[in-house]
Amino acid sequence: MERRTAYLRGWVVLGGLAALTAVEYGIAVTSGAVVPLLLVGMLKALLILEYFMHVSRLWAPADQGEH
Amino acid sequence: MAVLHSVHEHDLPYARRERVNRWGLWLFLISESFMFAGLLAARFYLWGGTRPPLDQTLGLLLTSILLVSSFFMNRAEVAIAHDDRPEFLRSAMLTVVLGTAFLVGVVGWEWGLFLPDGPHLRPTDGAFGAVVYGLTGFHAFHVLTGVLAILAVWHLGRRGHFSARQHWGVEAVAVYWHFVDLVWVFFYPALYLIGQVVAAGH
Repeated sequence: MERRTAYLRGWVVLGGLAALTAVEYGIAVTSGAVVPLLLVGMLKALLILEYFMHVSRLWAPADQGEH
Repeated sequence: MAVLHSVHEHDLPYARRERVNRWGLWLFLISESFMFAGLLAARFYLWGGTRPPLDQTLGLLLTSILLVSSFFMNRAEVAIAHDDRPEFLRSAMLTVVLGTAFLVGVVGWEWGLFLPDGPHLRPTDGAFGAVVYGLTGFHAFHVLTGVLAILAVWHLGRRGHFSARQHWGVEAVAVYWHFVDLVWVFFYPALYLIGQVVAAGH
């Protein structure tokens, strides 16, 4: 992946995490329902796992170190 | 002796060693996640549908700081993977600053070290105190070790270590840091958002 694209992806993921945190806070203020809060948490976790922690690298061929 | 020498880890190609290391790190993180899941289970068992009156602004601020720090750690990893050393050093140091700010926020305000009247909640304040200090304490310790690890790779990077092809050390520290962020993704709603507010001591 090109450096510029990789940097841009970081911004997009940060934007997604910020938006989901705002949604999370909104849910807590309006209803405080547990299930939606946990679902939003799961979505945030998936973003971090895939785009920041690169969990899929575990199954990638040894010579593919995509960043 | 020749046989022993041939299986020495440094004889393995870098990509293969990196793969083995990666699996080792993830197994460690999975074992860690069991501990954090246990702490979360304790929170839901002890608090049920209630929570203490924690500072919402502080909770949101700490969460934002940690998310932005993850962004910069990712940027540092991307930078070194493209041989952009100045950006790596800059982003890694920003992550250290943000991680330290998170620690100061937890210890200084959530634990009341910087509050003139002392903490609004003490570890001895029943289930509320035990859970808040248990969860934030274990997490803060991981933040502290993460900050120290980032400082170590920053120092090595400044001395010319790591390259686009060989930067497992940076990747490992970045994954660990994001794991600490991942834990907070669940701790934040569990501590600050879920449940009805009940005054401590009730």
